[in-house]
Amino acid sequence: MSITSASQAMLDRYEAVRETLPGQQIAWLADLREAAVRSFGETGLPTPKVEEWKYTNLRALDGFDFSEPPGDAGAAVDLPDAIGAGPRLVFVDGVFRDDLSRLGDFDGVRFTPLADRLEGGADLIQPRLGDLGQDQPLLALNGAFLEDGYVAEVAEKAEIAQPLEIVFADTGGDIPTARQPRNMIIAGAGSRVQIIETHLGAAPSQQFFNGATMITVAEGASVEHRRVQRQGTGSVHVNTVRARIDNGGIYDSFVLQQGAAVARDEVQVGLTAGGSVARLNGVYLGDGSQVLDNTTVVRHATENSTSEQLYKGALTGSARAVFQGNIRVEAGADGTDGRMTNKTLLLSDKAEIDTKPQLEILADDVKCSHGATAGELDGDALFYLRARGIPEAQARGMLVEAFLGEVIDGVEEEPIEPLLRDAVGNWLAHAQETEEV
Amino acid sequence: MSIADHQPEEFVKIMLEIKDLHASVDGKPILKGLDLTMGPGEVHAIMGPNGSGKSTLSYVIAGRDGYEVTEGSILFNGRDLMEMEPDERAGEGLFLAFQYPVEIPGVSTMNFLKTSLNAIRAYRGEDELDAMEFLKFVREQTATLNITDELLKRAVNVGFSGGEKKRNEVLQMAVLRPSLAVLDETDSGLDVDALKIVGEGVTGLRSPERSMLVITHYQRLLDYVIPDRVHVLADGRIVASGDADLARELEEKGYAGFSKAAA
Repeated sequence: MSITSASQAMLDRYEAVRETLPGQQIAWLADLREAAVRSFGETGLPTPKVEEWKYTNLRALDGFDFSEPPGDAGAAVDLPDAIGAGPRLVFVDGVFRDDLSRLGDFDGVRFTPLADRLEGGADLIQPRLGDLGQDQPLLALNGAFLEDGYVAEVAEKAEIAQPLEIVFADTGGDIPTARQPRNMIIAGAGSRVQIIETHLGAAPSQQFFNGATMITVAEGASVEHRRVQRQGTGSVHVNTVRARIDNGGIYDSFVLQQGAAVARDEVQVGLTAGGSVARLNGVYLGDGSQVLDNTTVVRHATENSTSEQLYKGALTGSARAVFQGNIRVEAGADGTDGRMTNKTLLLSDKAEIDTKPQLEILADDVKCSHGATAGELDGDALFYLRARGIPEAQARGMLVEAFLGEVIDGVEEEPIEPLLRDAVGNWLAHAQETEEV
Repeated sequence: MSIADHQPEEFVKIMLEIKDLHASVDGKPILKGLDLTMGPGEVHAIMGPNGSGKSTLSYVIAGRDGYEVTEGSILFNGRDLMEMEPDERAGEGLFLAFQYPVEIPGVSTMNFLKTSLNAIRAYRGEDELDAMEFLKFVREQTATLNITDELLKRAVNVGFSGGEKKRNEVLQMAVLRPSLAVLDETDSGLDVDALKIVGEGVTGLRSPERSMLVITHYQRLLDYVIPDRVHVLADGRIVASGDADLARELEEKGYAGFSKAAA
């Protein structure tokens, strides 16, 4: 089986930079990398022949020339304002930037770049890297390069009042680059934390972002994981999240997918004990010829766990979105409650959604449901608003905002809420200027 | 010199003038030469059997897509209504109370009312009301309609009972203060108590500056809102006109005679 040219370019790049990768002097890590790159080399990047990638094609990467060295590690960058008053880690062009970050002591949490934790990390880090994800090509690729990333380690019973922020910024430039951060969220028993990731990019840059985040939510802990994906328009963005949730733990995920040419946010959750809860929500806003993919895999492994998913999006131009949701209920996982909903507004004739909700139920006593809808704005509602004096563009905007508001209401009164509402408003205004919306 | 001579120029004695109106839906002619003239402050009722074109008339006046005017004209305060978008018609002072008010999930009734009022004020070059001014103004309107603050917080018409939906239509009319209100079957689906609230609410909005066109199948709303004129619509045309007594006559005798006359 032959691999794509981008896959070969990744392998060549690995050979060129392997000695400079963080932690390469650590024997266990170097061994893991070698195993990961071998695993990746067997399959290469997935193509649409692979069922899980049927609707999202990474061939855009074949046009990226990864052979040149990346740009200036000290590049200037316009960062958005901090969302909260807590600590903030900033990575620019893949490099941790101490000068732009806000560190310091925050009670109950150790929040650092991964590179700082590799040395001496055999106890905490090594087991959580596992095999670096050799079961999936993109995780294996990320594991091979394993550049840097963040580690948020929350102490038992610690309640972190301020969100932990991470910014991955890309300054663009003419040189295509690949960024492969590996992150970890480790929530101790009974702890509470909110993590906000922001992915930014200069408009036309050709960046391949291939991130991976490993999350463990211990007994009774709560992790809120917010991701704002606004990468540059020439980028390919793949972000894979793998969470394991223990007894009574809650993993609550929200993603805004707005940037990049091709983007995939994939959340894999293992509900491994009774009373564990996963809430996976997302909003996607697509225009031009974007492809925005949200993929979820929720595995109910034992009795009495709960999952809820709501993904809603609006598309214009010839944008295409993909929703693949899979709920698997293992044999014996009675009392499972799993729900999944995907709804899309198609605001132009050429916009498209490929939605594939799946339930695999091997247990007897479960409540599971899935639903998917796609359609245009409600003409009756539009006329009703206009008959009350509201001009057409404003009326359409109100209906789109109301439609997406159902998901954003889930993060009501969080620091991120105003940003999300503004994002929808600005997206709409731009769409109305440039397209028939 | 009569008092009318002292009226400002924009005062018009004819508020609505419909001439020889023909309209089709999906290529099928529904209105076939309808004439109607209303003065300021007048209440006219249009009565007719199902399928006579009552709702088509209301949608044509409000400007709904799919209702094609093939002949004739509608002047509203002397201006050609057909040239205006639905929202412009509302800005000019037209209001349609819907037979089937539309549910709008995710938009609170309060936000809807405020956005509507401010859109119409903006159309007229008036300043928007701020949140406090608006709240005070709305509370003045809700009391007589027995509408609670809780209902205002709910999404527009979502989960509303039939009576709540119609009361909400009357509330919108009270807030937007149109010069011409078209009430399309506002009495349908109401029990006696709800009819009383709606009927009294509409009656309370009668004024010398506000005309009302009450479209109905039954006479019962007209017990509250006594019309100046009653017109019988059959097969797309007005086939008879009279005073309020005509409505009572129709209630007793039905439309059979008029439908035959139209055929």
